[in-house]
Amino acid sequence: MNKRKQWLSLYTMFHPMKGYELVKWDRSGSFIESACILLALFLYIVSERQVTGFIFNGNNADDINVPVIFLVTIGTFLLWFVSNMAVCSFMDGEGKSREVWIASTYALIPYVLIGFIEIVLSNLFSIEASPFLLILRFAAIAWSILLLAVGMYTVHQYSLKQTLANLSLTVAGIAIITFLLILVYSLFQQVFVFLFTVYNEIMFRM
Amino acid sequence: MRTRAWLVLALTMTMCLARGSSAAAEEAPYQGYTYTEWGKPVPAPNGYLPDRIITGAATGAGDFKKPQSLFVNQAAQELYVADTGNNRIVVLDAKLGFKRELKLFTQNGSGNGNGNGNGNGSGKKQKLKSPTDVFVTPDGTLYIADNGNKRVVVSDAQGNILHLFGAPKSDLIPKGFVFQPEKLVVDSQGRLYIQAFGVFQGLICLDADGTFLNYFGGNRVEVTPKLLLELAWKKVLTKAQRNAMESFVPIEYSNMFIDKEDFIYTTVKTSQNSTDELKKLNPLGINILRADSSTGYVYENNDYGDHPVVYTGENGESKVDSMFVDITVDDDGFISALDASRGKVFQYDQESNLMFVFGGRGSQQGTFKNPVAVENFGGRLLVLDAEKNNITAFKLTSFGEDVRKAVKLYNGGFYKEDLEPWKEVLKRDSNYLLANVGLGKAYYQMGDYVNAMKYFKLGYDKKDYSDAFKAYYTDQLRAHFVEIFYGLAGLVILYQLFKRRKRIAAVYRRTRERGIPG
Repeated sequence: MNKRKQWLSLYTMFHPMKGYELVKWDRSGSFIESACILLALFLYIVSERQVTGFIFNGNNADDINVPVIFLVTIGTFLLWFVSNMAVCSFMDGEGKSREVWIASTYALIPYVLIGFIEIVLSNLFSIEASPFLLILRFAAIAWSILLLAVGMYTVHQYSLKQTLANLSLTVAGIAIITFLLILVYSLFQQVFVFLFTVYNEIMFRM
Repeated sequence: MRTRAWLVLALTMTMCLARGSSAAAEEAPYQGYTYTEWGKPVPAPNGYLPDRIITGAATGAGDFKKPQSLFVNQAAQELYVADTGNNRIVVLDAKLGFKRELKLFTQNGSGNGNGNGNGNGSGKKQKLKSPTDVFVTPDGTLYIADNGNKRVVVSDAQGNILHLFGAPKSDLIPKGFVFQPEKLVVDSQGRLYIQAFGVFQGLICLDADGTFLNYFGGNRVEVTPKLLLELAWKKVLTKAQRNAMESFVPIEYSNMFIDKEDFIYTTVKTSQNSTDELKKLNPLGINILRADSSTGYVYENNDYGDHPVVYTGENGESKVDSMFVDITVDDDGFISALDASRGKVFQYDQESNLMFVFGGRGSQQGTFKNPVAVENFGGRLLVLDAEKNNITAFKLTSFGEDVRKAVKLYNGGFYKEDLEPWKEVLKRDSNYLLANVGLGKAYYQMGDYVNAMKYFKLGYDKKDYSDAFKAYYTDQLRAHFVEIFYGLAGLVILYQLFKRRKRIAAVYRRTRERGIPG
């Protein structure tokens, strides 16, 4: 196997099987690269909201909240990572956390790259060309999901059936984790309100 | 003592100063506003200001008592006030002076009716009891919703009764129906459209003889979460249980207005979903008032008036939404609708673009306690208040006049001529969405696509922006075709040279070695 240390993510985009094999067995792929991809994802989500051409932009440019977008994009990715690790632990997945992390970030590449192309095109197209942008968006999402599936297939050494089960269980896991987080948040809030009320009562009576 | 006198003086002076500095802005007890493309209210100059207040005593008719309705007879330039509490109809002249009052009607031999009025009471006087609405046709025939007597009185201009219509008879009318007509209009064919209390099927439509024709323009049952839940329950319950459940009926109309072409404009009582609060019904009863334009706050869900606001208080949530009680349309097609829940008048053009909002609740001049009717008369907009028992006349401000002029040209398609009027409007209100769209269309028509794009963007009109954008690029392509052509040709030549770079270099080397042949 020839060593491809640099630009492995771009290589993986077009040669997913080989690329992920390298990640799995050759310890190729770098965290710096995956961090760059996550940053690009965040930048893409922000610029998709703010820089998309007027004709195709349905967002109120005055109502932007960058920290929330950051939390949502990176948070969703972290949720995916945690949920996938949890699922693979009882589904005999052989992937290490490093491999899952890198494989997942590499799968985001088409979504981000095509997304940026879409932003450029949205500034050049008139309203009649909107189907082309829709097709691009669809292709980007499909490509990314395919990469993700191949990545999990290779990293965890699954069969096809197991891969599909892993993907859907991971999504279900994300839902469960979100639910638990909201539950914990609201409970802690009630505890806080209770303590605050007790504090107030004491202060008023002193 | 001395300090106190100083204090009083200082106070008076501050008050004077405050008055002086803010006099221009405080002409009205309300703040005009408009909605942005995102549904956010932003301040706007006032389009209408209160001009004067007319009480019953000031007209010479004696005080009004809970008056319920206004009607303008365009042909005779008369204003009819349904003075419900005094059981009479007051007729005012063009200067809002008392002309006559209608209290007693003579029932002659010719008078007949389908209900409680029989045609044999020759010379008998008929009194009105709580009349809630009046309509006069161009030939002078009077139609009065005689609510307390549960009938409609039709009489000629002299007060001779032509018909007395009681409860209409038809299989479609439910048994035990109590006929309480509240509002009525008459079309050019003499058909009556009556909004009666508790009738949710639509407007009761009678022909000229009082025969029931049909229910006109019925509303649909609103689809609310509660309705969907009940529907799901009904699937599993027995018939007896189903019958015990609440039945869902469409919302009732609250008022209507008929224009010269027999289009009926309607308002509805509180709408749960806040949709279709204003409608323009064609003769088939189909709503043709649609908000198709991308500007203004009325979105595709046809939410007129203010956006519903949910307040959370101690008693749970309460929703406050516009509740329209009257509607009127002037000769230029501008629609004014009266919102009783906040005491405001909303004025729209025929494309449902919001033009002005004015009025409010309160006891100052220009605000209302229980507004019930709105009408255009003699260049003024009149609003009748049933609790204050008076009429407030509003007049257009100069800003209002500018907007009206511009909108009229705009809706007529005179975009180029509309350039200056819209500029005038934008000078005073840069939030005016339609002004930006109007300017964009003017520039588009003149071929100035850069400016057109700029204003379409400000007016948030994507469709027209796209057209201007396309035209701009086509223009650029045509103007610079030669440059673009040679540029492309040059690129091709460069590419070909690049492909043959080794051969060219070889040839070059050979010529250097051998010297130039010849």
